[in-house]
Amino acid sequence: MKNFSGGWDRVVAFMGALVVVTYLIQVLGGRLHAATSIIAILITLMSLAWVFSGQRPGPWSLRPIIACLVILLVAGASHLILPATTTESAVLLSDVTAVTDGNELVVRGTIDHLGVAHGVPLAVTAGKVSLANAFILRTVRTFSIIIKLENQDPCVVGVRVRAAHQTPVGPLSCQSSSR
Amino acid sequence: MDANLEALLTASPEEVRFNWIQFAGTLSASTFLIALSMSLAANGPSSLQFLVFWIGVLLGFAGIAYQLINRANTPRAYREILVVLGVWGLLPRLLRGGLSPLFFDEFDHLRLAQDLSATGHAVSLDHLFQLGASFPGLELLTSTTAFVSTLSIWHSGLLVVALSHVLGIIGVFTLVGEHRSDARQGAFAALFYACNPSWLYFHAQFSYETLALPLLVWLLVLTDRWRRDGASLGTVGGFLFIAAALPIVHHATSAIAVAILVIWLVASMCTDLFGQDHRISRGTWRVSLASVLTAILVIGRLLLVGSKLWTYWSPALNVGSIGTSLRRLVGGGGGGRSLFGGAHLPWWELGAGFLLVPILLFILARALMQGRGSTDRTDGLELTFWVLALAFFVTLPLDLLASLSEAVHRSWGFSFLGLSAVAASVVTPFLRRPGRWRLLTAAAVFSVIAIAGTSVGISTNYQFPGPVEAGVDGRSIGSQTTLVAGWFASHSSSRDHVFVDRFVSRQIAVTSRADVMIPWQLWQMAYAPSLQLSTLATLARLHVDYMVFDRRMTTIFPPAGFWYSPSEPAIFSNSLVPAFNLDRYICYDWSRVVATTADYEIVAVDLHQVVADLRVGSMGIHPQCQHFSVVK
Repeated sequence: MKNFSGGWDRVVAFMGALVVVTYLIQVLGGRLHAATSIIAILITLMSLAWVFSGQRPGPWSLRPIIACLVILLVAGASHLILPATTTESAVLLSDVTAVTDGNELVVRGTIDHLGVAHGVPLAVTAGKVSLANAFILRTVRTFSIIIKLENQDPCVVGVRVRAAHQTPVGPLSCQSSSR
Repeated sequence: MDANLEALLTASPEEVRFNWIQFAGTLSASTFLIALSMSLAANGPSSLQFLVFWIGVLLGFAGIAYQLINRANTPRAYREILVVLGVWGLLPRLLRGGLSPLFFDEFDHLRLAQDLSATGHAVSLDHLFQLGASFPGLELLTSTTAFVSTLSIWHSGLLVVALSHVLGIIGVFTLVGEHRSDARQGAFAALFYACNPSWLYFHAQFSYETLALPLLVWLLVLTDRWRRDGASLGTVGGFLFIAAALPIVHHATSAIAVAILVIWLVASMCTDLFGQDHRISRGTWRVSLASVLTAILVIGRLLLVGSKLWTYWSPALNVGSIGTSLRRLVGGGGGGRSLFGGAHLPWWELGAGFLLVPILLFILARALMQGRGSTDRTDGLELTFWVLALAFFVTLPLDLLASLSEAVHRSWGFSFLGLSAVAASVVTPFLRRPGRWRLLTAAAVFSVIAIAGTSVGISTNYQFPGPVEAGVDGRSIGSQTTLVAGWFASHSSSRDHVFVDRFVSRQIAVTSRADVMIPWQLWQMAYAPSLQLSTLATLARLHVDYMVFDRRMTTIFPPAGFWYSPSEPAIFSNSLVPAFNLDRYICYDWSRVVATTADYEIVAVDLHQVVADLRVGSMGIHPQCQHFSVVK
């Protein structure tokens, strides 16, 4: 009987058996985690039986394993030295709110970013009027900008917050707190 | 036969000096060059990326081929080299995207695996992956691997992919080698198979086809053993497990497995009845039993899946529609796609693509001539290899139809099984009489086939990384989409439904537990010039909690031709989404922009307010927006 597979036929048959058994267990209402616990025990027992049966498992020759490890190490090192991704910075503003008591406008929010070097410039506007500019350091995740109001009622036109080169968030609902 | 080659083939294994250091060194250099090509491509198209990539890949193939031709002479030696080929063949995909999901299908399967692991049952989101829970074999194996190894779901999935990739190539070696009692032919068949258009990328991704194809190959291996050596516990047991597992893993591959076995059976019966004995041989009866068992298991399972599968398959099976499209194409009525259209490939890759068909035809003709002069009896499996090989050419005209090109490309993974087996019967005797010119000719032909295989089977966007590009599969993932997906991971639950375009939906699906949806009823949220009460009713009925819009819909046409689905109304119509269509969501009392990036807006939908507005027949427009007459 010819057999060129060197034991890989057992590997694929075992994979097929795993698929069938786990599928039947979860279809018949069993919990997969219970099934995988049983399978883990079976794998261990079978592996031990295989090792101690005197047969040297065919697929587990050392030379191809070492060659594969070397190649994968080189791949990992190459990927680190020669990254295949472009550095793209992005900023996400969320949960931005505005509260005014007539004298001050307090704008709060959360800022998340990737690839930002130093920080993120923020601009607060009401219509075409610029109310404030702030620079949020990259280590800061939540921001709070307090703006003194001088005879302004930004709630009329709506308050917007914009990070550099981004679409503004807003108009934000202006909530008045009691004096 | 050359004296050196004869000495190699007759030497004992201990006499063959296998230089593993040279082998690993060659493949390491190949790996470095492939990584370099990816890095060159990452910051924008480079004239060098294709050249460096193919020098790296061909160097790897050359290193493997050299060892197979000059250093291996036992099944074990061939097998060990091919194991390394299987692992090395993963590198273009891994170096392309790193250890993260990248391609469209990978996200679908990852989400299914995550849900399976979390709940203990296969659960597929209809909006995401309708057939997923019906074919959860890959995810079952991944979940089990994760449980046993304590690795993450994704890393466990990569292990399963790696094992499948190796099993596929070893399976081809075993199938051809055992059948022809010639391990060298098996090795060359496996090497040839590695040139098939799907091998380097499509069958190296986390997708059910990746696991299904090796199962099909090994099903054929065990069927041939059963035919040849009779039933044994290992052979029949392994056969049954694989035949039962295949329709749990993938629908189309299991159906093709039945088709291949039926072809094999018919071919075997013909060779028996028209042969010397004029009767069905015992081996053929065994093949018939294998075919019947597989058919029962596969057809039974596919019938259990039912109408969902038929709906998925129906576009590819609509013979009338395909015929009409072909006739229109032939008659100059359009509807087709151009080969390599928009691919921006270097001239030599295009040339290789066009040379592929004549080279394969030459190989088949050569094999036919060899077969006519041979006294070896042709059997059913050999005829089956020929049928598969010829099927490649039959599918070529169908590749011109845009609706079928994807399915055609995937079919080449099966037809190359036949082409590899036939090619091995030509290459092996050709290289038994070595000489420098023979080796150079074989190397040149192999290089053309390897390059052509990838150029016809995959787009440049899949093959190489590049700057983030909206509306392009394989390039749309970037820092913005990562932030958006991260926001949903921290702000949403499994009860939330998110309406979002194709290009960020998958990343949200695997990063959060939300249900992403792209139903046609909601496309009007972006495309309709005005919203109606019926729109609000749809929002309430579908329980939409969030909408995500890419503002680039207002400034660019998506290279893919659609933002949500191939059947959306704006497909190929080159109409930009008006900016107002996205700005209007600040004007309703049921919508609120909760997060933004430079290009994305996340809009929260207050379903209670939607219901309240519907009760009074109001659209819920803010007073400050009332004077905008276009807001209705």
